[in-house]
Amino acid sequence: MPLVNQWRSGDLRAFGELVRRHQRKVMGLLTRMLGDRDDAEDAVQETFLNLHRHGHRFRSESRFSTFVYRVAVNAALNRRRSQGRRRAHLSEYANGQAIGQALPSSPRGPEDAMGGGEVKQRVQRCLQALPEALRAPVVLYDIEGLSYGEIAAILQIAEGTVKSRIHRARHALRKELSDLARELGAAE
Amino acid sequence: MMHAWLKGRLSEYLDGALAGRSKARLERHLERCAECRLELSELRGTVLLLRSLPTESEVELDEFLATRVVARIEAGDAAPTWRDRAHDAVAGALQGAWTPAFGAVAVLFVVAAALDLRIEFTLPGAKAPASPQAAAVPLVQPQLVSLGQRIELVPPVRSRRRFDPVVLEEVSGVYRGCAASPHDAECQAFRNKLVELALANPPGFVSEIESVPLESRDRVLSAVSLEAARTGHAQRVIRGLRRVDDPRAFGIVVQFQRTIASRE
Repeated sequence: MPLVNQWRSGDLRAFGELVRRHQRKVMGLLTRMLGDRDDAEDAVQETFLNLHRHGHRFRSESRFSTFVYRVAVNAALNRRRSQGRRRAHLSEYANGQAIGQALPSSPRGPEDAMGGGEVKQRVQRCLQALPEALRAPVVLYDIEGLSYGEIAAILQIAEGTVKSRIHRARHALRKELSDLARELGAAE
Repeated sequence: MMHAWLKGRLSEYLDGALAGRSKARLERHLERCAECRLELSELRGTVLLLRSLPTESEVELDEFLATRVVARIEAGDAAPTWRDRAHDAVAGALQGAWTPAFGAVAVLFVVAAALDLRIEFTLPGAKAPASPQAAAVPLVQPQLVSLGQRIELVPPVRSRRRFDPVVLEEVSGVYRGCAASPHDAECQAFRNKLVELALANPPGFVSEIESVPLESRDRVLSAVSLEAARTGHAQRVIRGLRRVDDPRAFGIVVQFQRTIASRE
């Protein structure tokens, strides 16, 4: 990790290069975590500032990308808390309102289901309606493709907890997206 | 009951994380349970829907992000907050890796609280805060040193660096004494001494700053960085600190840069 070492010895140009290398991954994650491009852009900047601020906490025996993910997830959670949206989403979820109700009816076939922008919006909205504790693990596993172990390290929870939260998140999403999920699952 | 237990394993099964007997049992159950088969199918569909969301490569990139982030760092936007410092101090003390002064000061305060003592770090020669007893007691109260007579009660602090109450007293003096009389010759001498240390021995300077109590550290750094900027040594100090192979030097560099920026 020569770039990381250069940065940690005070070279800001090396840090700029690290930002370039990781920004796509961080932006992707934060877009899915926050569901809003403007929010995600602000959170990306916060992530890299926090990364610089807390760089001394990085232990070289772990993967740098895991550390970056951890800082990014924290930035997303802090942003949510500061905006007070979390509470709104949680109560909406707790009330059992069907998030997709106001959206257009489901597409005719699996191909439509995967391709439609409206469907993606609906999935994104359902994802946003999940409690934070469930959303982060499912995004990191099903979308980012990280392992249970990596997610446990990022969220600083036990692997068993990661599994159970992914399970609960998928069940909650399945309930909201059952019409689409059934078509897609059957087509597989 | 078995049905409910197996149903709870469907997500793991989908991920290929179920093995051995559990996997075999679930597969046998799936053959005869239509409800679980439907649920598995819907879970699979849910995962596919999640994967349909924009991928990394579809994310629009801000080509000036790195430049903007670096500029904000240089402007001091990534300077550690008091919470960060407190977190690091506690983490460091727990690991026994650094912050000898933190550990020593914490022990001192615990003992002082137990003995109902009041600890003050006062610079010899500095004016003590006004109090009803001001006329009855001398203005200079080097109480930390006198408290040292009771230190044998304190268990030894395990640290890499020896806790030096005189240094702590002097450095704290820059903050306490100089807040009231910044042009005091003695305060000036302390600031000069710290700037000289920063120029001659940057790692030593980092350790010295780290030994200042957390609540005073910002002010001490601010006073020293102002002094360095005033005497034209700030850039040299920054260059020296950047070469220090110690992440703690980052925060100090940022503070110096912020001071310089605020003067420009």
